[in-house]
Amino acid sequence: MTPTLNEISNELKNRISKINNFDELELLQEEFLGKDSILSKTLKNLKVLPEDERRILGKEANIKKLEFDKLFADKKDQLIIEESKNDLIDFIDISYTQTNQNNTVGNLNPLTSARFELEDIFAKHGFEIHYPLEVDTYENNFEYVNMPKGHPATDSWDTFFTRDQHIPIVHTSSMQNRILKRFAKKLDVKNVYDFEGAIVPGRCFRREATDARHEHTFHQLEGVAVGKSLKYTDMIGVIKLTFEEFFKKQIHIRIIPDYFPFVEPGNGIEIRWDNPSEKILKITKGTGWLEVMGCGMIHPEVLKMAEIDPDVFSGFAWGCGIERLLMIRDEIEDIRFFINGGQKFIRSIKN
Amino acid sequence: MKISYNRLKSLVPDLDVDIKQLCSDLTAKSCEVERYYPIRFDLEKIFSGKIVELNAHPSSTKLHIAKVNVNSNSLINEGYLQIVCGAQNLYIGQIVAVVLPGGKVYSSIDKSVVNISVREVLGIKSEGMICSPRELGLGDSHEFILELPEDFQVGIDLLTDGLNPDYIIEIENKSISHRGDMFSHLGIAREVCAIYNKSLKELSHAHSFKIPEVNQKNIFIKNYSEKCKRFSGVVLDNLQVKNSPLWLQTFLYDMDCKPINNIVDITNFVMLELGQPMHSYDYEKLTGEEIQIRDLMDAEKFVTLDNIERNLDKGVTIVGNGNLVYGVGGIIGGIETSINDKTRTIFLEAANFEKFSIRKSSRAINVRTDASTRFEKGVDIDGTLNAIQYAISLLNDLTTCDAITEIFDIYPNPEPDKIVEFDFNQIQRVIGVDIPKDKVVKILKSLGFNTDHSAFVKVDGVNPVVNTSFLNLIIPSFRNDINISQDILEEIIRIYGYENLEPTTPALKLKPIFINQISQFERYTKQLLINNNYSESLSYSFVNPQDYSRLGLNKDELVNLENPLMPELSSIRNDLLPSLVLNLEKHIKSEGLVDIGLFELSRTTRRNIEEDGNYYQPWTLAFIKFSKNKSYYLTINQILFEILNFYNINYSIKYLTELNPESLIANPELFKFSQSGVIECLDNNRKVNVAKFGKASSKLLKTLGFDKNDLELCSINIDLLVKLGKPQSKYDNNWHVTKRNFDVSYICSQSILSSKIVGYISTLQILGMYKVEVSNIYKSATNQFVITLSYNVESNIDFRASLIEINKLLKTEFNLTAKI
Repeated sequence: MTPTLNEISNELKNRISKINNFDELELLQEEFLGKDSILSKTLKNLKVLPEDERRILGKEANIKKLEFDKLFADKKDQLIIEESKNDLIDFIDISYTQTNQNNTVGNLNPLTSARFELEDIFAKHGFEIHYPLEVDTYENNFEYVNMPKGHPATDSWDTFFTRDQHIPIVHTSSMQNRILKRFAKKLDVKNVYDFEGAIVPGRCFRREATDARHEHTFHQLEGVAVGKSLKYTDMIGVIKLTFEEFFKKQIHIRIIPDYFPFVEPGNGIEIRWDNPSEKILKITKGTGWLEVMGCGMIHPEVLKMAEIDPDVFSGFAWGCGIERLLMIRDEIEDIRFFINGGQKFIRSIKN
Repeated sequence: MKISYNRLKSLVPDLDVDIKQLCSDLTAKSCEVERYYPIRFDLEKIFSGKIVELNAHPSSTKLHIAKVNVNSNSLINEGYLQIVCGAQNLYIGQIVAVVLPGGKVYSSIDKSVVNISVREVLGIKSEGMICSPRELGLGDSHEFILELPEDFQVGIDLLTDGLNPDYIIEIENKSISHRGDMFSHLGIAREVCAIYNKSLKELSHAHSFKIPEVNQKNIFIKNYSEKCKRFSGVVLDNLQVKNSPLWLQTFLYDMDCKPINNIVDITNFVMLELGQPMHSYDYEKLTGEEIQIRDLMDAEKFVTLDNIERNLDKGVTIVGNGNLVYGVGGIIGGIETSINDKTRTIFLEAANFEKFSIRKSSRAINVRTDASTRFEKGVDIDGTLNAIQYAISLLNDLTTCDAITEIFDIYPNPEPDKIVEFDFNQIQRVIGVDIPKDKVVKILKSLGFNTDHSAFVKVDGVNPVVNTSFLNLIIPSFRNDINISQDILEEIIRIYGYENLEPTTPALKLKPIFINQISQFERYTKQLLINNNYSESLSYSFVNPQDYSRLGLNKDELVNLENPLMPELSSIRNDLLPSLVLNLEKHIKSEGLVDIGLFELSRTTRRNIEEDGNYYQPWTLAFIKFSKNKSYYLTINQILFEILNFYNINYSIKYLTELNPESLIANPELFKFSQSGVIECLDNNRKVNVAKFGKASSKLLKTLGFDKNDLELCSINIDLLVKLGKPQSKYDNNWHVTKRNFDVSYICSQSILSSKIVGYISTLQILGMYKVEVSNIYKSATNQFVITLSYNVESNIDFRASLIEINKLLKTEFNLTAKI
């Protein structure tokens, strides 16, 4: 004897409660709602029944069908929730939405924001800001900084030339003569403490192969100061002070011998801060000392060429690469990113 | 440059600092040590041995079985070893370097350390190995085994006699490019002595040689070149050319200098040790009794000792006789007169050449040698005789060697002692530190300066007065880098120790600060642009002229580089818009279509030359705006007007349609004719274009593949802008008036200038009208545009009626229709 629909319903409720995976649920669904199920057969056979019976049984069967469908749907939801509970354990407290992809403000290249920072630091200490030409004469690139034609030191600067022998500047020292001449007029001979200072941030060019640490186009920041009583130790003090402001930490300075024809004594400067990161230690072969600039007391010949009397005035100058400072401070691994990194790189820097 | 720690110690016998400390002190006080590395410390059990029997390997045509006498008591077989070896240059009686079983050598493949043990090679027992130079850490040669001189004793522990482990110190050449004297072991040894207050070992010329009373060979030296400052030489006879002893070969290998034979090796050794380049000529190959040093009158071909025929330019200094060339002075010798196995007599040269001319010649003939490198930096003018004597004494150790002439020394213009006046007070005044006088003198003495003339005699009236704060320093001849008192200062503080200087800061005198107008403009506009969602986009100043052609621009207007790194970077840009457009193209390619604004501020380089002899290089700001969707409105000019107004500049907008073709802006190809314009200002009554702006031309859009998108461009000449305008605070005394703006779009069937319409409305004197301006260009400046009409709200008038009135007037006057 075939069981009644109510009996089937009870059996289903009983069996469905024990199920705990999707496979069993599917089999059960086949058994109770599939083609060969009692319910399906009942519905199929309706048309052969007499009118009265058909109406009653039809109504009952359809109600049961809806009831069964709901049972299965609920069970399915229950299984989904249970299964995803495991996945969600780590994320239970986080609700996330997609972030807004559209920027509402633009970005500066980090070279610009770093230069702004440096300009602000030096302007605050009384330094003027000047910018170089991109293409300048041989005299300004070399002669006025004590490298007459044929000087072997010009080898250290791999120089581009235009067809008529102008030079895309090899260093921001190309501005030294013009700035010193300007200072020559401004300096107060009577005031022992008077001094004039300037920085020259600008784009420089070297004809050399590019790699992670070298670019044919890079940015330098030159510093020049002249006064009646400016000393070598003042230069070290200014460099230490301004670098601490830029790096936002206390730094140690190490002076090493180096040679530039336009300064004497001429030196390299290395800096180090306490607890340098793994990355910095790796770059510096474990020492933590980073070479950041060349500097020195302005050569008397350079002062003379700018009509400043080296017996009365002394001055110092330095030059550092802005990219290098940023690579050190923000631990950027490749100098080529600054110009070639495009908008994705620019957006990667938060400041 | 490389320095051997062992040789350094032999020059400074009581040097007692370890290698690490030494290198760090050298870097801190003297020259930059790039790195140092140990060599041969890994090797073990390397002995000299003699091949006494040589048989073919029964199962290999390439291998030999050698019986080697290593004469060592610790070994079985009475000091004989059987070694299977594949080298082709073995012979009986040969003295070779053998690694004994249990010893270690370097792998010939990757230079890793290999343990050697007794093993069988194709069935034959092999007890150890006969070594190639590479396996002993001597250079890269591995084709043949290392041959020792035939009189070399058997059974010598080579690691203590010739193959000694050593440290090699590598010095950064750039850090000593001004210090020619430091391109030698002696130069570095002098520095080491000064740093640690040690004394230098006297170089012995113990093998005193007899200078012949009568020259057995006649040789006359004639110096016709001013570039040759000194020329010394001697003829040596009865020499035996052979391989150098192991210690010398090892040293040369370590210095990256290939051993050739004992004669050449000694000249190289003297150069590496003393810094004086030397050259040896086969005397028998010299023609005639004269040796001439002269500058070439005409270019000439010459085969140098590396067997390459080179072109010698006119003016190059050569050593030769008559038409014959023996060598290029100070750079490289010739193959004809070079030393070979049969050479018995040599002419040994030690000369000094002017450094600039060597640099020029070595570039002209494209040869750089160890000698030319040293001459370029400057070699001690007093070093030639010393070098010759040292070389003779060393040769005496290696072979028979008789001097058969006296030592010639041609020194036409002896350089006088260089004296530099030094003021002790300068240390405090220029450096800012107080160093006691006796300490200063001690430092200077340790560096070889003669401080004995410390009393400076100052003529005061009639009586000479001794001024004790001055020194008259005599500079040693090897220090040609020292010329002025500032050079002396550096010498003092570096040896005194930079770490002993206390940083100070200058006193700051307050005074008005100079404002850089470019800097001011940059800060203001960049802030404005990023606030309006534009991003900075930097590009190289060097551009590809092909790109200019592709964009339809005239590449002939660019300044070109003579020596570009690559053709893609061969010109200097004259505008920033092409760079921005190319960057946009790159950006869209990598990130897909996005709405984006880009800007760049930089100098640009134009072809015209300014008064100061430089190219005109105006500062330029350019910005572009790209939208995915086409828009018919021109909007980029809003930012431009904002900047112009901030700078209080008097300007008029000239749309391209209003301009004569000849006054068109540069690069009109970039702009769409009907929707672009320039900002015209007066500079000394001359009309100048301060800016250009507009929609991109359809040609440009097509080239970039952006025909379905929208691109607007703007470029400002900052130099002109800051010259003609100034940011100034401005008070609007109509601030209390509440304004109401109406934008009305007009369409005209014929062409008429929007600015004319504005002018017309302004003359109407409409009640309550505050301001009329063209606020947007829709499709074209001449027939579809937007005019903003501003009314004063308090005037209490009927705007609608007024607008209708205006439209009616415009309709009759210009046949203009307001777009609804």
